[in-house]
Amino acid sequence: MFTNAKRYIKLYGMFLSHYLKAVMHSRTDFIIGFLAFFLIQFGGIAFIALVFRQIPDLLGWSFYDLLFIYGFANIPRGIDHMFTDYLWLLAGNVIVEGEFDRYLLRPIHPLFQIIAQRFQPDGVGEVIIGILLVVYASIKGGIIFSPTKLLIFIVMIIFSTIIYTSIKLILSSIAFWTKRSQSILFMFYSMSEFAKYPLEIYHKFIRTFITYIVPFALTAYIPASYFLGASSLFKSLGLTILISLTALFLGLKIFNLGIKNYESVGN
Amino acid sequence: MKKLLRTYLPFTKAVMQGFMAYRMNFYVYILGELFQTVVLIYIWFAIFSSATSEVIQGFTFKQMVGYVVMSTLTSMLIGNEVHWDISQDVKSGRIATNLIKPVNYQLLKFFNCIGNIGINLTFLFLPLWGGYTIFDFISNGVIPNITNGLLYLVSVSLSALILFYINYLFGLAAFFIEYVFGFIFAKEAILKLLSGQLIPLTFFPKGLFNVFKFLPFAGLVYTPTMIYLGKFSEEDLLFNLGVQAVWVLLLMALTQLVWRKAIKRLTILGG
Repeated sequence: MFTNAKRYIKLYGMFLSHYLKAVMHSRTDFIIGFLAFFLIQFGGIAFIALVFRQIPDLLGWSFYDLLFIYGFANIPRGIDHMFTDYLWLLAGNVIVEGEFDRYLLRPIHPLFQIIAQRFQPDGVGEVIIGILLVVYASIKGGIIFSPTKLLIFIVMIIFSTIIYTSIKLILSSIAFWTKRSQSILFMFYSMSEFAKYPLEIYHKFIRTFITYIVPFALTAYIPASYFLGASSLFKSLGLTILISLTALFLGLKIFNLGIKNYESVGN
Repeated sequence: MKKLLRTYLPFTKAVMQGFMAYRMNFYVYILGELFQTVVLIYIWFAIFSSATSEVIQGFTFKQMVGYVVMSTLTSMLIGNEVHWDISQDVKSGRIATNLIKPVNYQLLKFFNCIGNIGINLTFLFLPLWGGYTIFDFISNGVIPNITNGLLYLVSVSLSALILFYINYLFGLAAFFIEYVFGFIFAKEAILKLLSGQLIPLTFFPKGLFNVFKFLPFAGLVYTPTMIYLGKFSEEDLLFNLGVQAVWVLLLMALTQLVWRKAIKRLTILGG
């Protein structure tokens, strides 16, 4: 078990260093991608800033509270974007073009190969803007990070990332049955928009839906509200861990079922 | 004219036929994009409940919903795939076969774009606009103003042209850079903010607003939407339509210029 894990870590390191070399090779691409995802987030921040020129607070949430939630949302999203971007391709043309066959031929788990296949530096832009926003909002909003809180923050980010990855894994695995599932993946992924703002603004149905069914609320608002003093640690962290592990379990199950069901397009 | 249509209309038809095969996917994608609109309406509701006055920057809540709906519909209506198509043509080298055909590349893409807009109009804009108008009539008793509607048609036609030229330019970027995907994403992010799709441009600080209203992006969504809602004075109306028209001409010239530069750089491998 342990030697296996060691082998996988070593392999991932090799894949990653190979990738970083390629990234450094085309530095303009890196900068363009970085700027693109930076700019996309800038639009959302500008929106919040413009709106707060008109109102003192939003249903009791201050400008900095909103920035904190918005920033938090970007960190797990960006990390997931960096490491599991290949799932978008799996949902796209990988199955149809018969590319998946080669992952079945190698003596490593196919999911590991898929993850290691691609490192997407575009996600770095999202992570950096997320961290900047969280730091800025914490300083301005008077949120003090003790070492324990910082640790809790990191743990929450890890489990929030797992939620992103699991949702992508479940939906891209559908492609094993339907050949392509990119549009469905895009549709559900778009629901992460809801998580960038306080849940209270939504109808109860939407709140329940994005907490328990497509649990994006756990990637931003629910963990972030602990730091904003609006929710207990037990509730924020407990719920995030519980649901993220459930989602991951489901994701892995569906992926493995999908492989069993997979029929090569042949040639 | 007749000969022109006979040559180029098949390119419009091809886009529409391609669409019919992927109709389901199209709707699923649109549903994803509509979530953003739903989020926006909820946020505006929260904003108006938190505000001290009923009117913010000249908008009541109902008018703001009208703005969100019409700006979403407008950006859906004028949307085209020209930038993706061109970058694909360049990347795959298919552009070479287009260049040896006795057709004008830009006209070809223009007729593709008409196909995109035809699809958007029939399968998205009209059903959604119809639904919203009926809803607005039943719940608020609002009947759309015909003059505004006609002026909207004029303005949105100019918007469609502006977006065609902008996307054409971004497609040509594939001649100069490799990572077009990121480039186009960045463009879309900037357009969303500067076109007024995310928030009416009047919400920007006065200094910025005075700059933005001269940019081509304001003519994409903000101008037609404000015209539809009847929020422009006569003076504003003429000014904004004028800005749109001027940009159509400027961009038309610019595309020619960039095309000439781009085509010189083209190297096709193999054949």
